[in-house]
Amino acid sequence: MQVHSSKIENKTLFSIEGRIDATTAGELENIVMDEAVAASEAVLVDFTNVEYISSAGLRTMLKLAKLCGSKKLALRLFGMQANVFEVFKVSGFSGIIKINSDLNEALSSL
Amino acid sequence: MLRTVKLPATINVLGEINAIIEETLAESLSSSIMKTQLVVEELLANICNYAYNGGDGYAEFACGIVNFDGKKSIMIQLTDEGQPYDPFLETKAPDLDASVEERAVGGLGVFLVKEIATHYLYMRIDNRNQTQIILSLDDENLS
Repeated sequence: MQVHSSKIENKTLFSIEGRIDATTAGELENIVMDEAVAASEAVLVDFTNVEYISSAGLRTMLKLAKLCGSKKLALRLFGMQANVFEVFKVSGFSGIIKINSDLNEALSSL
Repeated sequence: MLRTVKLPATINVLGEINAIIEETLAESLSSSIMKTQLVVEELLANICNYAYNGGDGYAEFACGIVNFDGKKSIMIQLTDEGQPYDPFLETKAPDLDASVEERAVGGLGVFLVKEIATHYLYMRIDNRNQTQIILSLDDENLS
């Protein structure tokens, strides 16, 4: 798993690559939580290159969503592969975290 | 035929188990492989955390294609020598309608397993915990 952070129109963008499982979710959590604390406008998470997510990864996204909620920051996840979206759907997370099909849709929804 | 391996009960063996799943189910769709890996990860995490309470132990993992009720299916079996622990009994269903603020962090793994599995079963046998999962392969044209 790799995560890359950047800025797009003053918004914080995390691009994740690989597998988010019990062995990698902790590292992902450290990085995104640290950086999201400093975010000022909105947080975007690119899932295009995420191949797999388990409950460990869902917990990381829930913690990020709670942090964004407490800081009044918008949070958008986008670009999920069908397998990954299925896990968000089954868990009920797709109903509480906003998920967009791509970056443009995510940006225009803000 | 089932492929069986006995490994230390630690989440660090996930990579090894995932590779075995990919080999064993090489003919299956990637979605089936991913579901199998998800089920195994969640059950293994529970074995480590609850059956062994984070202590040392072994987990035996088996997986393969079986005929279940006349349908080609994936069978997953996990066995451990830890204290009696039925993951399906002790898991409260998470509140799917809760908002982000209300939603509890955790309790999700076994819920996902229950949702994904066609059948799930736990038994205590010979001082071991054993879980069996059947995943349907209905959407695949396996001969």
